Amino acid sequence: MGVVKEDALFTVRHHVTEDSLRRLEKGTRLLGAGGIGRKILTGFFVAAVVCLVLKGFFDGTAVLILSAAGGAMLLICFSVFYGLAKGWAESKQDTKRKYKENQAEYELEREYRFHEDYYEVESKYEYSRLEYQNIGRLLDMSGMFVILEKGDVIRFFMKEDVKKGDPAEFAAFLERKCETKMEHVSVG
Amino acid sequence: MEAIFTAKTTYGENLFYHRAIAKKYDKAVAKKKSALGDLEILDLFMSVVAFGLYYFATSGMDMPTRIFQSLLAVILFTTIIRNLNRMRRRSDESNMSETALKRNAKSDLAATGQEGETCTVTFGAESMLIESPGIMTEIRYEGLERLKETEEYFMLFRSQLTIIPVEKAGIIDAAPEELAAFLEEKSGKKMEPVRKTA
Repeated sequence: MGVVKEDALFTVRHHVTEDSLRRLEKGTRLLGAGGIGRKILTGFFVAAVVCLVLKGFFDGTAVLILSAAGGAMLLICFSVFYGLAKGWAESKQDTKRKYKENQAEYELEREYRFHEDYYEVESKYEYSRLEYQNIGRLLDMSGMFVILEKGDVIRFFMKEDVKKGDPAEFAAFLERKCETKMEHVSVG
Repeated sequence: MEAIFTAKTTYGENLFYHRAIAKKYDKAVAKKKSALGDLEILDLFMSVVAFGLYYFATSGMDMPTRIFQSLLAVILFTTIIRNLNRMRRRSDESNMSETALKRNAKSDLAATGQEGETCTVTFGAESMLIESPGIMTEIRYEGLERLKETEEYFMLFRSQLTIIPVEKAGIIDAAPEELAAFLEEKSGKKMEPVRKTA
């Protein structure tokens, strides 16, 4: 594309795979999921079990109250858990569909070249030159670097995709250039 | 790059709304609504499980009370699930109303942090150059997947994920029809008008 290629400090070469897309989706979901919600749900479940166990030691009205309370809390846990599981399953299917729909685009090999004052992204049809100030957030999703740019653009690649330079040094370099901390998200 | 056409586009709510409708009506198959309304077959099966769960939990009660309360539990369960399903559907752009798309355009714009920014698109012989503060992107015409036209914009789809908006009112010294014909010739794709009622 008539671009003068300077020697880069770090070079990344990759193409998007279904696995990396799934990891991104999972990481984004985990990033949004609040720990408080999980604690409330666990609390409800423990309380339900306690109610159902305690009713064995009482009789009369206490049994009725403990049964109803235990049953209601168990039901709430079941509803929320089922709702969440359904959402996760749907987003997994969505990722699969999204990958199939855009497979040609995802399979294009991209090269990222990181220089002292700017970085470049190049593929078969596209070349971009960007300043580091465009980067809003940096994420490390269990070995996958995610760069969130202004304009809602997400770029992601695995640590193994760093072909020139050390991945650990690369992460430190990005943090320094973007003046932002790398956020770590554990994706199992 | 020698400019054949030049256009300036300003990022605003209107742009994001037009981008959303170009994407929305791009979907060839609209999702069919289930005969069960906001519930699905699996939800009905799970409501039976919910009945059994509550019935099991209330083992100390007499039979009619257990059955009555288990039925109430099923109603509560289906209400929760119906609302969760509704919320999920509402967040899908392909199912959004015009008003919801307009509302979303506002939050989408805020998320991009580009409000009020102007981007200049220079159309050359082989590629187009998009320049906005701190970003310069060059795209070859053969990389364009689809060309779409709304009332106020041309939406150039690099893919379903990357869309380059070109404001018709921002085209310098040329008519929108001339640019449309040029893009069709260079990309080999037809410009598709977006009909809101599709």
